[in-house]
Amino acid sequence: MPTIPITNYEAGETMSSADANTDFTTIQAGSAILDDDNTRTEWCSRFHLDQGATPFINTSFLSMEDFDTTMAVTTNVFSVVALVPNFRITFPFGLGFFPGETLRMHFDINAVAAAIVSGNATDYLTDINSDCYQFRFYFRDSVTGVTAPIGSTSTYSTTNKTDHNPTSTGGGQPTAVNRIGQRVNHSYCWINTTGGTINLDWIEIRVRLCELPFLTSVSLKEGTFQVFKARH
Amino acid sequence: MAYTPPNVFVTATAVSATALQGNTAALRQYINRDIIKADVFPASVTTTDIVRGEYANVVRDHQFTSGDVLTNFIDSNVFESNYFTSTWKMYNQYGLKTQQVPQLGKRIVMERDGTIFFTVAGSFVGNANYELVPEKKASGIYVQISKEDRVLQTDYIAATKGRCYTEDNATADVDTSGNTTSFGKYSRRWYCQRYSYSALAGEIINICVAFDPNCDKAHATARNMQVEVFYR
Repeated sequence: MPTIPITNYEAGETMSSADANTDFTTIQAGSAILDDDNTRTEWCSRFHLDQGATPFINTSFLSMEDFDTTMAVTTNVFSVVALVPNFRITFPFGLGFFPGETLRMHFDINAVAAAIVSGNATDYLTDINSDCYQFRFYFRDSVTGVTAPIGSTSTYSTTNKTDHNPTSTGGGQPTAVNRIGQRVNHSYCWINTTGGTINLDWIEIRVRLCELPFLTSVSLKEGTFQVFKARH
Repeated sequence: MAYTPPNVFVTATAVSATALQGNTAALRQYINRDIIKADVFPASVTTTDIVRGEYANVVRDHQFTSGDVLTNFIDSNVFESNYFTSTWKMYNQYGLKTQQVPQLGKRIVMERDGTIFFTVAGSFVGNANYELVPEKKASGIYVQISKEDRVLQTDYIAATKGRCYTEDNATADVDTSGNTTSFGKYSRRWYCQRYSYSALAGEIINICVAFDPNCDKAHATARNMQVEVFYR
């Protein structure tokens, strides 16, 4: 980087216009190579940010877990995962879910037992949901009082469906073999794109069986449930 | 763009103090890029204004300069398989003794209060035993959180339990998995778990996957891990 000389005058000395102009024209020439981009990565850090009236950190974590209760799911209507306590996260004073924010929900649990109605094994193949159970998140709006589902469902099978015996003629007959003792999960990232604030009273995880004639019960145990909000 | 002095001085004409000050004032504004107090009020920069970060090569974390996320760490080892069996136990291969699964853990020193969000997944495949009885007892797998340097095998979180290497014989539910229907078809287990943990500034947190294998021939593969740390 070039240095820019500045003309100095002693007390009582007459300033020449040429010298004065030279000072500024050399600055003009020298400044031409200056880069407008600020390349210093530390020019702004967390220490410079406003931590006063505007919330600096916007995360909000709530979680629950249970390890010693077993829930038997016996209905095909979505109902709350009823370990102890029920897997519902309630926001004590409501939670303002503002436009552009992200709400993340994560649920994990084991399916430790299943009661499958024996019968024609091909029934399990003709209807893809016959041996399945589903999870879905629901929320309640604290202002309108409306309860509604959030996002899609996660669907899990209690069987391996096609248990082919390669030694049998024609590849063997398909049979429904239980698949249990399996960790299953349900997640959703909810971004508020409505343009308005959603007021959350609670969020819960619900479960149901898909088709009772084929699957009459699934037992759930050892679950965790986390909900947290952050800016995206 | 280079600096341009607004006033040029002329020979034999007295230098005007206003003109001289005007040139220096213009120079000061040029250096400050025309920023004045009215443009940027103190403490006016919020987290939504700036979100950027840098990769910290020492700890393999992406460290964010601002925003709600402090660090983000992702490790994925999809294709490598490692033996992880009960044979490392000195005695009683069915005894409850957990061991940390390689590449599924991280040590975190908290700079300030925050929440650690741990996401982990892996596939655990068991084979027929060499030394133990043919059926394999359910092998508990958990998220484990220990503080400081005192790591106990009882630090695991019971609600995060998964059942890996599970395989009963056809007549007895040896591993209490609920499976009594077949033999040799249940030894592959996918484990996925999310867990949040609030930690205080200065705490040293060891978060990992703890596994209690009850199978003497088995391996772990398809390991994935993400550790997010949020300010609060």
